[in-house]
Amino acid sequence: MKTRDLFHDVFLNLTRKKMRTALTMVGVIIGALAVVTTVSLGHGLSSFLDQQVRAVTNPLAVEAWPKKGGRPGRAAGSMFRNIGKAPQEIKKGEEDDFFGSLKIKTIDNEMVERMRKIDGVERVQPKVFVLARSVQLDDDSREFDTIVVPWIDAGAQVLSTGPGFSSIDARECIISEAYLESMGFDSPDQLMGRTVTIRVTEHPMFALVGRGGLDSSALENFQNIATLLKNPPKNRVRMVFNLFFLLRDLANSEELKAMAEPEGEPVEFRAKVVGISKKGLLTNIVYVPDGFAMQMGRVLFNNEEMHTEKNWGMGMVLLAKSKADVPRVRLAVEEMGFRARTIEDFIGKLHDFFATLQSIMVLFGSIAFFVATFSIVNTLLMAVVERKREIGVLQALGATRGHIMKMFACEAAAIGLLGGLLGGLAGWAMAQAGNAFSHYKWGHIIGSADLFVMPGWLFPVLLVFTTLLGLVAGVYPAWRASRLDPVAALRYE
Amino acid sequence: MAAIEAENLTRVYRVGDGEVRALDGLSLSVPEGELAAVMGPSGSGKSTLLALLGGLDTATAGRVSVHGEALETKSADELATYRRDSVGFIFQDFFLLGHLTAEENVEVPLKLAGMERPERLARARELIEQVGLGHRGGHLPNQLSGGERQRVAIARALSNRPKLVLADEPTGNLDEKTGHEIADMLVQLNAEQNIAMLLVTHNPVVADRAQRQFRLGSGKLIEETVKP
Ligand SMILES: Nc1ncnc2c1ncn2[C@@H]1O[C@H](COP(=O)(O)OP(=O)(O)OP(=O)(O)O)[C@@H](O)[C@H]1O
Ligand SMILES: [Mg+2]
Repeated sequence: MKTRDLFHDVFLNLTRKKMRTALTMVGVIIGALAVVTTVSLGHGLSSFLDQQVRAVTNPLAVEAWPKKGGRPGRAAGSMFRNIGKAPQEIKKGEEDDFFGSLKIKTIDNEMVERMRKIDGVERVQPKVFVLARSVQLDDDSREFDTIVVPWIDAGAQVLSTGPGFSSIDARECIISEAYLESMGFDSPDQLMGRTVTIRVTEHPMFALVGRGGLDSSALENFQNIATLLKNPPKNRVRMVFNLFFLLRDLANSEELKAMAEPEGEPVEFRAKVVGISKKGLLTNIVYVPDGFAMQMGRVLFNNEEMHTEKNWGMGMVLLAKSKADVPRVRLAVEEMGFRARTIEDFIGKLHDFFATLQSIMVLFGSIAFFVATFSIVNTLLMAVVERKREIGVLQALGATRGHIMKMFACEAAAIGLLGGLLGGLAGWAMAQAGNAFSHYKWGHIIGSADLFVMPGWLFPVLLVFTTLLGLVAGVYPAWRASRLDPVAALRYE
Repeated sequence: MAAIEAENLTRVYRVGDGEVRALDGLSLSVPEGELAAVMGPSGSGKSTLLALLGGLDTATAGRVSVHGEALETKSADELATYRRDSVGFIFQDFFLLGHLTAEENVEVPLKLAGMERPERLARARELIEQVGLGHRGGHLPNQLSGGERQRVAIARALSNRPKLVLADEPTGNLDEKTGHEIADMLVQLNAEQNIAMLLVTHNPVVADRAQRQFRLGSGKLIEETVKP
């Protein structure tokens, strides 16, 4: 039999019982719809965020972080991790996760000199964090919430209007265009050239670190308490006394005193607006020149020597001369024993996250496919019984077992293919509706970006998958049909 | 060479612990181009004989060859090809495919044989015309009378230009007049196209039109009469 004729017959057979064929397909349709919408959403969201991150992140920056130590965030978290629990064992290699053994590995001058000499490096400067409380325009009583970002983290691409910074130490700033709306301006010119006050505060934890870190006596204190709790003496009274003395020592230590000190007053910095930046997802951003940012960063640590030759801080930023230099700089930084981080690392993590999310969603869609498989098997087994006489007639007219098998298998595959097609189209329509809705609802945030974007490979892969699914479901019924004894089939009433 | 040569043909069905000997050492032979009638009481093995000759079933013992072609050594696929290329079946219940028109039913064997559509369409039209249904080719089986359906079945049986036509009570479901018309048609086809035919019938008048008559009983050949 010609393949074309086989396909035509399969089509005729499926249209004979349209309702049943349609109902059998429902499972495949729902599965395909779920997969298309969730994969489109995941893909759309991650490319949207990808764009957003790229728009506000400097592609030329390579951050260098020490591999060991210097992770105050994690270590700080460990201080509170054990509340109500027995102290954890400090395992070899994980010491840095415990606050008691936190060593701030500051980067020394010799390392910075070596970084500066790396081929393709334009400039090297410390990684600066600024904890800003507010930004306020002169002659305006209102304070606005803000995030202050050093210019090197963003890159020239974010500048929308204005001349930009005059020097690396200039007391200037570039303000997100979103502030125009908050402050009540229609045009950037109304903001350009005006002066704002940025209030910066210290952070108790960073300030503690900045003031010299924990010394070995603090570590000893923590360790002694841990040892005591792990190996309690038989005598309970002695244990309570011991614990009391140890805790008293700890409470009297300089470090804890520093932590208990009230926060310092915010420090005010005045800056001239020299540019307006494009607004990204985060609208409340004020960019400042890198040197200016360092001054603000010193407030955070409450340490005047921070970000100077005496104490570079915990991480450095290397600015590559061009994009082509980035991989080389990155490699050199890693060879020096540092952990290197570029925009691609960050975006890679972002995509990994969405890929994981997507696989979970696709897994849910697979439940529909799983059910659909049984539905197809059931329908076809029923069809084999119903069409027993017909199968007998075809056999009498010369159909081979292979032909009968192919006919049923193709019917199953066609149910899969058609279900995938319909479900895929429904999913596509749903994604379009989702895009229209999100533009209407969140247009001010996402602009004209689509949150549902169907990757090009999705439709073909989906169709191949659902067709194979139908085929797999059809194998057993088709085999049953092909094994029918023609004489018995012709006798069947 | 004989059209049909059966030797010691035996077909045993196992039913529970016992067995049914549907055919029990039957031997017969039909010369080329002849029309032979098979008669006998119900359950005597007539349909079983046709199934074995048509390659729908395989014998438990004995040998059968059609136009010199031995069937007992053929595999399932070879038997399917044999049915497709050499045999035409006609059944008491017509066995037309209900979702296909008269013409499309006639096309089925040609489609299975891989014939191109225009060619098989022409052949189907010609056959439909030949059985006197020229104006009914596009009708579905349930839009046709019993006699008309059997004509379609005859056309379908002839479509692959078989060397052997096996008809199992083709007039059994028809009124007397229509039955005779169908019988006339088969006789005429046999005469015109020189196709060997084996015709199972309970009707002595129909059987009388054959040159040769076999009478079966309990799976054995009881009597063979040949017209002078
Ligand atoms: N699949 C089977 N299993 C068991 N016995 C069977 C089977 N098929 C046929 N038989 C038996 O074989 C015998 C011959 O059956 P067959 O159908 O050949 O008779 P027949 O001569 O065609 O009868 P009728 O005139 O009623 O059509 C019968 O006794 C029948 O019961
Ligand atoms: Mg019978």
